[in-house]
Amino acid sequence: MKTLVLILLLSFSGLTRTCLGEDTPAAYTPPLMTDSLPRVLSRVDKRRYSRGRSGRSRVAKAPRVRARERVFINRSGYRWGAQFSVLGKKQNTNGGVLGMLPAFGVRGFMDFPIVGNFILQPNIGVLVSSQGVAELRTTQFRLTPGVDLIYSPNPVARTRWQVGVTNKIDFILSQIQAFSDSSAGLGLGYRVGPTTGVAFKTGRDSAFAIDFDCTFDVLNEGRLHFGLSAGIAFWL
Amino acid sequence: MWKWNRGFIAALGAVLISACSTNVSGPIQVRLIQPAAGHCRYNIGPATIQTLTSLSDMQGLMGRVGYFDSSETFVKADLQFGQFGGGTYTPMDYGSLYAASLYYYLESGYLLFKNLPSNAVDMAQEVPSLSSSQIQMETYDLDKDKELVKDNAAYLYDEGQNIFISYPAGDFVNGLPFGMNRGIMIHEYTHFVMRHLVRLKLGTQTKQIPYDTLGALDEGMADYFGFLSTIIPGTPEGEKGDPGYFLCTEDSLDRDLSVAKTVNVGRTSECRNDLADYDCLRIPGSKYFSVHSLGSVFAYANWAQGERVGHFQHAATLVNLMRKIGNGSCGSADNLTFQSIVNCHTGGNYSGTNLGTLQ
Repeated sequence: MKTLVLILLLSFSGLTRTCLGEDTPAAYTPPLMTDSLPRVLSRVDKRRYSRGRSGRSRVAKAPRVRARERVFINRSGYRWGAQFSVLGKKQNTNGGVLGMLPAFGVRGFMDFPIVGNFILQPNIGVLVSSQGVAELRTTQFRLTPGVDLIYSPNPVARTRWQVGVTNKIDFILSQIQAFSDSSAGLGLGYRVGPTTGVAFKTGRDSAFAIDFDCTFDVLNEGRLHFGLSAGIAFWL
Repeated sequence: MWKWNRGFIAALGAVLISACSTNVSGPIQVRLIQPAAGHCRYNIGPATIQTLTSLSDMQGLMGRVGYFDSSETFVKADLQFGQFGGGTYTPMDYGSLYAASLYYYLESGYLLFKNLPSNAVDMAQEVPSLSSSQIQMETYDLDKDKELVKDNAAYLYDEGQNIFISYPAGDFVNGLPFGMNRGIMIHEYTHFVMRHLVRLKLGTQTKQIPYDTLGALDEGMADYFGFLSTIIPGTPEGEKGDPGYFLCTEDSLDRDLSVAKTVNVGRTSECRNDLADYDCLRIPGSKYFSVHSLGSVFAYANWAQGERVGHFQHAATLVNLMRKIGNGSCGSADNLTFQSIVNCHTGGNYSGTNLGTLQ
């Protein structure tokens, strides 16, 4: 956290350049490497540096880095995002597209690094699907909170790939409308399955993230669902 | 952390227990479309299904609802029902609503015949294989022009198998799909009753009946019993039923039972076997007619008589007529005509129509 604060302060003080976009992991980023470091040491500086027992200091020993690597990448690992989502529920009856009943909506998520390259990703989606013929219409509003456990070989890569397991609870409000009457009831689902995704860095702290999952509703005969989400993710 | 986990696991357990119970036996309540008092009036609310043995398979005494796909295979339909707090099940998509409606409507037909004030008939006793019936939703079928059949419903008897069919909805913009119109599905259920009480009793003789008089009788019976299913007892308006229930699905048909119809003996050209051939409602003699058109004349006559004596009482006389025709009491099946049917119908009154003159 202290490092994060320091990084933010340095960013605001204009000591850094904003040429984010490198594949440099956080661990390799010299924490104090800035353009404001003296290129030519004064005599006082020379004396001070020569007095050290090892003759080394963090500043003096900082390796030179190429300008394009001299960047700040907010590598806290915390990330949030907002995406448009399509959820397809396998259906062999009316109204399907490619054997799926589509639902459309939005999804939000937050990444929490846990151990190594593993990430815990709580997420929530809101989706709507609708089918109807003439005076008859059925509409489902779906609230879908879930938690994904994700592994990414390199979470801070310019092109980040990830794979994991997702599980979601579906709270479904199903509404039936015919002529001037309507009625609605609630249903539940619990879906588990693999997920994968890729994020392409688009700016200093942002990326375009696409996620795909294939889940089975274990409460409803293992019915197959496919989810596809695309949107923007931001590092904190 | 442990407390949070415990709470999460408990909530998940509750969800699992709740949702796994969708596979239950009847009677259960399912949120469905039901006729209400008035013309083309419907309520959506809890309906009690009595005879289900499996909700997720939509299977029970009436048979099993499934999807007849393009490979001409009868397969289990993907269904999903939600229930919260142990109350009414709600279909979670159109297909599930469709499947539950089909089963419920056919069951309504079964109970209608079973609960008649007299001459009641329990088709589960008459047809022990009833629970093996196929109830096909959105049947894939091609007509003679290789076009997909849409906007229709049917009953088939195929090598001992009873098959109730509802075809996919087409492009119509008003009303309910055929399979969601209770009157229409009970129309099909009545064909099933006629098959077992009349046609199978007569056996191969039915092929010798000229001009398919039996087919017209079948359609007329089906229209009338379909109408009976729209009667909502308890209020004067509800007890009128909806004699125009067909129009709530297909308003281009002249199928309102309350509209007087006669047979036109002047028609000399062949009729198409569909109700769009309006002139066939006034067709001549016994030679040129379509089964649906002549059936609608029969249905009108019986609706009018039901208005006079009470519909359920009159319906009982029609079941009696079915049994009499089936056991040969109305004369030889070879010579079955509307004149003989009218004469054989105890409690019938065909005044205002010329059905009794059809030789």
